[in-house]
Amino acid sequence: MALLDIFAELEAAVADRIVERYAVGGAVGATFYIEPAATQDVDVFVVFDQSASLLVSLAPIYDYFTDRGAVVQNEHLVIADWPVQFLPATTPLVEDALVHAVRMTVDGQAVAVLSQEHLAAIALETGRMKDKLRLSQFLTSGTFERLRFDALTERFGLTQKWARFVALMEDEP
Amino acid sequence: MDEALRIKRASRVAMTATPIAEKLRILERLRERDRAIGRAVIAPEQRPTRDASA
Repeated sequence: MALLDIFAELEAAVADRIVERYAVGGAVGATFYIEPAATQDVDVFVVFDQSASLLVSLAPIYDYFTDRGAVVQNEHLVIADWPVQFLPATTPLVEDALVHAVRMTVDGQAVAVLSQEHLAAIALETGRMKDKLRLSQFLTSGTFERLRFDALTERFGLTQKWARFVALMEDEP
Repeated sequence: MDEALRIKRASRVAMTATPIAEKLRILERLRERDRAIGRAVIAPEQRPTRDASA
């Protein structure tokens, strides 16, 4: 499975100290918790050593993966035939999400994935229609830890967005 | 509860319980389907924008 090849490459980047930490997010990350939704790319959030520069640069990541056969395509790196987008942790919520990423194993392949409560909070923060749909799926997944999510919305200033989301959903059965 | 909604919720719960590997395979098949009908990642600068004068 191509996605497993991507997970293996991400683990290699950690082992080779190219990134400190990573976690899969977006629709692929959400698939670990809810029903799959079609997507064309893989979102990977990363933390890496920035001590050498004040500017966040993805160049070391691009160099590393292109040396291993990836191809640059716009803002993506194509790995195992999937466009992969590396997103530096630039907001407190995403930084926290990376700290609390969940280690999973799929068919023997290790991978780090954002927790579903963090994915839901990021969806709330991002706020596009597809994010709202995803958020509603998390809420009804049956494994969602609502208290943990509520704490995240409080801590990261999302209570107003949450109130608007609830108002939007109020008429839903 | 509306029957269609009940069935949808039941299928959602069932999908949540589906092994992750199987769900990832479904994701790959969905992408293959989309590619077959011409959907692909479009760079932000290449996405169509609404004409501001319209």
